[in-house]
Amino acid sequence: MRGVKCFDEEIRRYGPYATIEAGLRVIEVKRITGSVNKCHELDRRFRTIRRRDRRERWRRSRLDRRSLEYYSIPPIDAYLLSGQYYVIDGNRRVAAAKQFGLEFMDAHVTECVPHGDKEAHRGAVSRRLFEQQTGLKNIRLDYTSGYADLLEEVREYTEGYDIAECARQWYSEVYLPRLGLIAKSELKSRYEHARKGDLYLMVTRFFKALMGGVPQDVGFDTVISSFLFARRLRSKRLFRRVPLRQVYTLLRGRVPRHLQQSKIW
Amino acid sequence: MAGFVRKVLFRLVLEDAIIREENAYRFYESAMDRVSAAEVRQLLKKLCAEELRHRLKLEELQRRGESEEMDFSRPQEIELLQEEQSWPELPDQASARDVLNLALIKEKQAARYYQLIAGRSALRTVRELFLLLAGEETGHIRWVEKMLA
Repeated sequence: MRGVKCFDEEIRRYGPYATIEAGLRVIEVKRITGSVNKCHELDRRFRTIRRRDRRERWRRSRLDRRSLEYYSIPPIDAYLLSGQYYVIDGNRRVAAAKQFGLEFMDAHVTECVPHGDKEAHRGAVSRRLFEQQTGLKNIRLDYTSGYADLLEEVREYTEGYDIAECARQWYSEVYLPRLGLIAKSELKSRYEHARKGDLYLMVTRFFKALMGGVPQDVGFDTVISSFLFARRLRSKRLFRRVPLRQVYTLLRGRVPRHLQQSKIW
Repeated sequence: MAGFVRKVLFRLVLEDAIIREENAYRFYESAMDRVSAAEVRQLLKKLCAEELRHRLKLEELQRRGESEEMDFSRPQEIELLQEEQSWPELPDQASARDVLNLALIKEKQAARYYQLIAGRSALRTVRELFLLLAGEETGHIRWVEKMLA
């Protein structure tokens, strides 16, 4: 079985890098894919490869299972490099999280940004700024330049009030419902592997460039539909295929005479 | 039965109006690539945005489904206007003035179309929307006329 990724080997490919403290945050367990110190000793699920150690680990995990019912797993320390987490301290906690099928866990994260990748550097800085100012740490974007746009949107939403307080409201009342509509739309099925956050930004940037912002007097599902049209990603429209004139002629013959003559019909 | 038929027809009329706005959007979009004068391009972009805004409003109305009070007793007018619906293809050598002249004709048609539809609706919100759209199309006519002058 293949082991976990080695941080040293991965970072060597990128060359010199800078680190940015990202602080305590909730991370996705499935994105923890490597280790800093023990990559040759662990399998993909962060269990030790040596058989003798495994027996010991099994005994411990039984204890861990019991303790997990009462306590949460303490935060691990990890590097974030190119969207993947590398464990500095807490390999066993990760193994337990993977074993028990936890989706998220806490981690003190340090982001590694290669010097050569200026865009990644700018993106990391703008994400850090976004998280510091809004306190929102769960927004994931593959195109990190989008954090600057989101910050601007949050600022506009707060209208001068305390940004950290209003950001949560924006997140629950604007951002999440809109992501829900994107998930149900044809946009998501056309760009299956894109993050919903990135698709959201794709839509809002288009309307910002053309109209100065997303129209607020219509629903976001309507906005998505117009975006699909403008980008020539035509969506299915039930009434599009029906020729109005022919239907009317057809219906006219069937409509009762009194209705034909009434003011409303 | 009559209620259902009214609803279907209402949606068809709205879809017809949406198609008009889409055609207008595509016309201005393609015209932008052929015109080099900055101020004309700016006007075309503005018109593009306006047509898309109209499309948004019409689709929102279609989604909300306010369809109870629509008068379809004079179908021949809809039929007449439907024939004028499509926008002609722009020739490769079209000048800015050609584009604007064409835009003027189509904007006038659109304004008349919305006025007609507004006259058909007894429901205040629907009537007001169509009157608003007619008013905005009249505004576009003024923009284009100003540019032509």
